[in-house]
Amino acid sequence: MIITNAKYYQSVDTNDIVKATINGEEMQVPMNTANRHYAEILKQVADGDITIEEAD
Amino acid sequence: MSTLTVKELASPAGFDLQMPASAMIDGQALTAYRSEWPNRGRNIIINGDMRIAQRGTTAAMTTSMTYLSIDRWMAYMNGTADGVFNRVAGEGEFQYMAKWGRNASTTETGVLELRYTVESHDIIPLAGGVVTFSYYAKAGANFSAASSDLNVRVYTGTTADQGGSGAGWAGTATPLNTTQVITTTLTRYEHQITVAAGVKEIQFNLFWSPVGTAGADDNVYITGVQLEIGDTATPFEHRSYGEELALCQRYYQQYGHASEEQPVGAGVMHSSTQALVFFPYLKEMRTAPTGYCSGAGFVRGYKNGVAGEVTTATGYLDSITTMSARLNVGGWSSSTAGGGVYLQLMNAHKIYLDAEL
Repeated sequence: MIITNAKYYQSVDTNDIVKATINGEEMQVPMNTANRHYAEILKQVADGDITIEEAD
Repeated sequence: MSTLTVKELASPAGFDLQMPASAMIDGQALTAYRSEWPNRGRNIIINGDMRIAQRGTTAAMTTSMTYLSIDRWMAYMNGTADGVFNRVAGEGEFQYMAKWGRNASTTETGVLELRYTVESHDIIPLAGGVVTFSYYAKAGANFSAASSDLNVRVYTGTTADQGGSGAGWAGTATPLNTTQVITTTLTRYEHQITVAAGVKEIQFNLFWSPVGTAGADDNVYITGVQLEIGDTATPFEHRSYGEELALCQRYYQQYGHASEEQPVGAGVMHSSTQALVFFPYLKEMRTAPTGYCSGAGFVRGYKNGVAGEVTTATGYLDSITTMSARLNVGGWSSSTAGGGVYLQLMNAHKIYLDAEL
């Protein structure tokens, strides 16, 4: 899974998603470890392959 | 009309017969119940006959193991991808088959693999028993694998729904790792698997290694995939299209129509340029899904009592749960904060939800 541009996102009152480009598509990933994309983001962070940018 | 009290019934091999304690006999043979009743709910594999392809019926292979076309089935090609994973016309009792293999004339020889992971909710009843995995497969006319071998490998694990490759699961085991010689005639094959006590997940991997330069049909075709309790493959369980689609939508849903605008939700203008809209799903999903919208200009909004305006922005989903999400759309001309808004998805635009394993 190719993940780039991972960033926490806060829109109105929540900070519950990570925006990321996954296999070329910009996606909104809920911060739930049962979600395979979020699990993979955490794995790649732990492996030192990517970082998650803080929200604006 | 007579009443018969049934004391004992013998189950046909492979059938978990659930009969009433009494049966009415009025010109109808008892065997009629047998042929109809036990045929439901045997197959644990969803979309085993490859009918549902919400993402599309054709896809180019990639080097990432991912969901490309046919629902519930992941695919990839190792190394450099130069192949396809398509839904094609089937044979006999099957309307469709999956086709996966190499593009003609390519010299890429990376392994081509299909993967199916069963959700843990459906696995717990299998633990500590024997199951049968069956499928119909055939080789393309130019199938290049050595000895015409199709590899079949099954992983189990002891932690619920880890996803990813079963090789890396906690408590990983390989209760089946074999090769099946296939021919150019669609044939049913079956494998018996002993599932250890405590197993909470199971994954099926079907793969082959191409050799040399691909001919015109260097593919494998597969359909009628079934996983059931017991040591015998029973006839493939055909579910209705509606049932199968609903089962698939627990894992993946998409909204939108090729040629018509589709109502998608209603909500409030949070500010003069930002709409927050309640977006309920078609049905509850396995877990909170990843969401994404197809691009800028994807919805038309009706607000302030004026004609619909197409946003210039790309929307996104937040507050994502298993049941619904909040659709957050900017890119509007100045509107009245606090006013109502109603959204329609534009022609050929989509909203996607992915809760696959």
